[in-house]
Amino acid sequence: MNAPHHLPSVDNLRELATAGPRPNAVEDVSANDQSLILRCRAGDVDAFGGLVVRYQDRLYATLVHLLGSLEDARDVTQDAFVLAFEKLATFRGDSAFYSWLFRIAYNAAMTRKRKERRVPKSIDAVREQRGDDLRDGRADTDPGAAIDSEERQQLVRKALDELGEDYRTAIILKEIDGLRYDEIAVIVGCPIGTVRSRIHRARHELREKLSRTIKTQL
Amino acid sequence: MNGRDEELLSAYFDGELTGDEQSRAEQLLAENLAAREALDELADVSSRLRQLPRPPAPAGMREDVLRQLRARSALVKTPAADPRSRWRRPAAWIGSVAAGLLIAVFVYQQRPERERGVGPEVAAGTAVAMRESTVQSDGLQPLAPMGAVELDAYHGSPASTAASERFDVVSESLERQPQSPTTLALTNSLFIQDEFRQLVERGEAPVPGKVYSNVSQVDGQIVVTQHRVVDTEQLLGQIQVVLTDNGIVTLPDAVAESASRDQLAADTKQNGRLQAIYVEAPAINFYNAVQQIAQLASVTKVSANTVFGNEFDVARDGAAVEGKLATAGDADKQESQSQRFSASPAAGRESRRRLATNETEAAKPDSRSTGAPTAMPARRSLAHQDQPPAPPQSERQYLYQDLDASAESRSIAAYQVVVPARQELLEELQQQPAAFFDAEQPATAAPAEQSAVAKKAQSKVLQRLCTLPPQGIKAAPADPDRVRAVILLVPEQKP
Repeated sequence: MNAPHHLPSVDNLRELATAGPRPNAVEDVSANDQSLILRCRAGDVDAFGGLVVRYQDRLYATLVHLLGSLEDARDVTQDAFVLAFEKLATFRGDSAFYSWLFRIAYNAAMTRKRKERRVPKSIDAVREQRGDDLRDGRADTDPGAAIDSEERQQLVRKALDELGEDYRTAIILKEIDGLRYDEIAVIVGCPIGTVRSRIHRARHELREKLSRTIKTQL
Repeated sequence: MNGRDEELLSAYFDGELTGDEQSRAEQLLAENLAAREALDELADVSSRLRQLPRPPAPAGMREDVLRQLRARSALVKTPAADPRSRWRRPAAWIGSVAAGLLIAVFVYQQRPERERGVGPEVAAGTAVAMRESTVQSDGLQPLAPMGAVELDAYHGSPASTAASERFDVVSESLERQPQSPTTLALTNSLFIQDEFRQLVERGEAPVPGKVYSNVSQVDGQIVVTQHRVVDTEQLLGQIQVVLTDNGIVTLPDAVAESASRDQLAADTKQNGRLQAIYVEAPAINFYNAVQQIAQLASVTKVSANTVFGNEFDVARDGAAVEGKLATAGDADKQESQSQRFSASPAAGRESRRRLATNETEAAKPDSRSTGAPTAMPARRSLAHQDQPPAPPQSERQYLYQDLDASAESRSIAAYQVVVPARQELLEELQQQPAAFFDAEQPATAAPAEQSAVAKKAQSKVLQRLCTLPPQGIKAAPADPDRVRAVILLVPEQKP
């Protein structure tokens, strides 16, 4: 395994850090969301289909990593949308619809995990079990994605799976889903400071694990 | 570089720092090579994670979800699938439809000195027309399209008890005023007789937003009542969306923070669900929102005394201030202020007169543009022109008194959204229970007694909410252009 590459410069990082929310943050669609929500509340079920289409990929992808199961992720995604529709009257609009939706999904996911006492399976395990490849649905993946080898991705996934549940959840919501700290805090039900700490700890552990793996391989 | 610095950099990388911390992180990066290397490593880890595959949702997710939603909806409407369904029980169904909706908005606003004692200036723009025939369906579906023609009740000619004859008589009367929107609305549903009962007998749930007709005989007169199905829960959500659209911040935890939380919860549990939304917003935004809410439900600016009786307490800066509202005896004040700020009894009388004399131009449900909103009377008499019907409940509510306007710089206005159909339906239930229930359906208690209990219970809950506003909303905001308000949405206790 080679040393990290394609790293942005510190200046670029500073720009990144101060550039505000990531591109997949949800604020920019809140107006459209509200329009659809209003229509749903007026009895237009099809309008909810618009919300499903808008958020299904993002929600599903995150749940796949959280649950480690394509099947579970599919079921939870579906359940979350149905639950969200039923609870739509309680959506106050003081948060982004997606983070509200994800909170429902997260609760459903945790309930499912508790019920099934399922140990999170890695995506690799899923792949072995199902014998299929995990397709990346993003239209515009990072430039480095094509270069990063499959082997390297497996290492990252393994390291991710070995994280403690809280750290793993926090870093997935941050890095995979692109949620803000305050949104994550609401979803997992803890203070923002705790989210910040968990994300830091998760990154620290991942860095250590990846570094050790690289040294071992060398 | 210690752990705290690394955490700082991690948050810096995520763009989650503000103010001092941001400066500290930048200084650290500028001065410390290890910090810059740590940031590089953070970026590396982050980059690797973001490169993990994100599988797209399985094909057909949207269709699967919508299919589930429709299937669930169908289940609700198909009670045979669930023998315990409450829709099979006429009493429960009627109860939920009969439950009314009431929204009260209490505004705490600082006003300029010159306006004190003059009257509720800030409220002038909030007077909104009353729409009729709104009834609640519990846990069901949403409101009908805005602006739909609604008609609450109709008195036809004395009639025989034969349903066909009754319809003939009513139809004949209606034909005399074909241009009236209320007439058209009634005509359109004339041949759907006793829809409530039919629905109950079929064990079906009411269709959201639909106007249902009911024909009954009261004191020898034919009464056609139309009721629109409204879900208060949906309405609450819609109100919240309206507030958000107007940039109004809601204070969702206000009730929870209130010292009266437990008591409130107990009252709510005992007396029925109650919703309160506390807001602070620029006055113009708030009143715009009130206008829009009026498109969703019947809103009129009225006195709080219909809610509380004559005594009204409001907590102010920790001390209770008692204000005595105008009573029904204050006829002059009632008349002048109601014309100015709310649906007008005079307008109601005028619309009755038009109907009684078969004028083709009927009162419009929403006439806010005229500055004097018009309330359509809950009942109209065609056949008995010289025997005007008793004023409906809505016409007795147009009182306003600026509470304590001379003391300090505060005024308190009360807005109430009432649903005349609720009163109408409850009256019908009391007078003609057989029109709603099967003959063998036993009454659990005397309707009049139930109504009194419900009214008292509702009044108690409302009073508690308004007299014990949560911390932070008691005082008027420093900015005179802003208001703090609590919007109460109170379904009446089910009979």
